[in-house]
Amino acid sequence: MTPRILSSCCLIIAALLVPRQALAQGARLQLDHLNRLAEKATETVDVSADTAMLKQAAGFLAGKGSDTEKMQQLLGGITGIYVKSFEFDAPNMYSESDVEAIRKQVSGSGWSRVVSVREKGELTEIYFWRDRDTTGGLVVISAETNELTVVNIVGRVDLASLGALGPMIPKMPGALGKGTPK
Amino acid sequence: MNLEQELRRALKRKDPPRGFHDKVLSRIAAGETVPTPATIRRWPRVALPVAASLMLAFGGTYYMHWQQERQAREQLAQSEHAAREVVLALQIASEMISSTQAKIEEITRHDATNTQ
Repeated sequence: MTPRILSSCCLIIAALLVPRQALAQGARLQLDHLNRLAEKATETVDVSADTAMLKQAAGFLAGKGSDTEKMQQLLGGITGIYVKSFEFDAPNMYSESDVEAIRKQVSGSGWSRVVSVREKGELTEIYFWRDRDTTGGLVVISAETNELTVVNIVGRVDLASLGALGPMIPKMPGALGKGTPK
Repeated sequence: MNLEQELRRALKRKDPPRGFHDKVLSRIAAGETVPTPATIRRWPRVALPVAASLMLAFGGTYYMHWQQERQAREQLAQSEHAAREVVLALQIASEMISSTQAKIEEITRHDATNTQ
């Protein structure tokens, strides 16, 4: 095989692989640019739970009561949960560009904004990423004067189930109060 | 009577042969030792490897058991940590969705009141 044919084969294989990779990464956002805010924040929550971690968590929660069953069902369709939350003791500690960088990522194809609430300088937006006919991900942006929170869930998410989970969580093993410094 | 005589004869004090004392002293001075019987000589040769093997076997078993327990403890701690992180993430997501729903309901109610 000549080097020219070999390089052509490599290019074809790479071209075939790239879209699949891009599809898998579809609902996953790049939130690393927010990491620098941790220095200014009084409280930071940075959770990065991939498939392996979710499986481990689901295994730990198995058989620990009826409340955890609903959470396990919810986790069944999720392949990743990424949360970045920063609480500041003064306003304007993050810039508009920090939020814009996230909004720019969810303006691409596949994403659709389902909720946008802007009041008293606060912005809350929910975006869904659709993979064919099923939801393949979710992003919640909450930008308040003293707080910035971004939740990125990759996989099949049921918004109603997720919202209803709230009151059950404090009873679950390993439940924590929000704002655990990391 | 006969037995008594025999015993008396046997237990009768006998002086050591002449030069015995000097012989003993000279052999001590020369560093001569009495050879140990063969069975006693063989004992450490057998006992030491047996003891070492037993120690190795018990030590190995204990170490493997300890390793397994440590791995299980580490795995449990990892799972617990993962569960904590996931629960926290879901807690934040759920809170945000609930508060957004509440905001929407409030806005809808406010709009409905204004139109009336």
